[in-house]
Amino acid sequence: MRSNLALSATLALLMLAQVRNAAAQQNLIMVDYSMAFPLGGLEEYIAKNTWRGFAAGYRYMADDNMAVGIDLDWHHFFERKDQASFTLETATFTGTQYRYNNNFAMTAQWDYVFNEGGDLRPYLGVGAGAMYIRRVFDVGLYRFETDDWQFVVQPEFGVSMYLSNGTALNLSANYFSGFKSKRLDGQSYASINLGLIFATD
Amino acid sequence: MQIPQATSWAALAAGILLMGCYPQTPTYIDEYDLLVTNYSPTYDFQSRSTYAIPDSVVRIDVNSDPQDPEFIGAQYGDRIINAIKRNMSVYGWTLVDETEDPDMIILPSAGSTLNLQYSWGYWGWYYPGYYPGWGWGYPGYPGYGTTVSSYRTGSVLFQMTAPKDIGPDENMPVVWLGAFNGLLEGSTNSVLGRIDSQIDQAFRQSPYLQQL
Repeated sequence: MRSNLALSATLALLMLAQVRNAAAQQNLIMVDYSMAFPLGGLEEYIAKNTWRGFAAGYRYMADDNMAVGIDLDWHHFFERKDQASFTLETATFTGTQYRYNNNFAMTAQWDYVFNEGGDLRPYLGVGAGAMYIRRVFDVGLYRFETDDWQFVVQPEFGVSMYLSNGTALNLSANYFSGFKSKRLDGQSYASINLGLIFATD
Repeated sequence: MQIPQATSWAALAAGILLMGCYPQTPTYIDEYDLLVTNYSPTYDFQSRSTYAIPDSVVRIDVNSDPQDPEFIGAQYGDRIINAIKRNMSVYGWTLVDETEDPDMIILPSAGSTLNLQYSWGYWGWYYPGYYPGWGWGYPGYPGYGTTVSSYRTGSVLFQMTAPKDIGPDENMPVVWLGAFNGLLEGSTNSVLGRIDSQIDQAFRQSPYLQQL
């Protein structure tokens, strides 16, 4: 975990270093509803997509095309497995399973925004940071809980359509690639976000 | 920046999200049922073909007299025993009397005691009545004690023992077991139905008991 945080901090510093000569000064606040699709180690635990998610972010426009900032994302995954069996060594357990996974991602982001001056501005970016995962497994009358931190890389692309008064509609797709940690396999998922951007000087 | 507008949108989004975030939990009683089976991977079940089973199901009760165990009511006890017999027959085993030198003996028990810590030597106070002088204990297969350690509500336990494989320490090996527990709620018919389905599943997930 310590090495993950060090890597995150290094990436954030590299991003900020690129804006020290920033020309434009503009702040963007983003609020999005988010749905997600589990992948990798997360998909092995929960295969169902989730409609429960929320994303918020901040961007500083370093110049006409470059933005840096942070993203905060939360997604709640859930799947019920009726009378499912699993085996530990020679013991086989059968019962109705309730599986939950809560993922909280905090990343530093760098975006390149196209079509400066236009109302429709596509963007492409990448970020890195930490993801906290809390996993709950209920079967019968028993509950098993696991939590862990993972290093996460988050590429994204999207488009914002500016309306008026510095407000824009935002549509984006993000991919969260978590790296294997001590207690959990790498937790990965893709999300689609729909929300608003509020811009100010 | 449109702070009031932003706040309104954020509040609306948060409200919608919170409405959808109530965690899904079991709705029906049988969703709390959990079944476990375990077996000795080195035991040759195919070399055995007969078994015996008592006529009653011992009540698991920490306060019971080891020399005078209590039994659960016939309504539930008969259902448990008949379900075990039915499944053993389907798998090709032959039921014999306990006096006819059975290869295996299946020992069923049930209880509703909260937080009962199960001991593998449990049968030490029961079967000496059939075989005087024998003190039975569980040999302790790795992992067994951690997977089945307590019973919080209604529980049924059935162990298959091998009386012909008693070791020099006179411990009777338990070579297969099934156990399930859940909430003791619902009608009698509902509980009886859950007993049948859980015991059927116990055998279904133990195909190594099938006689070839």
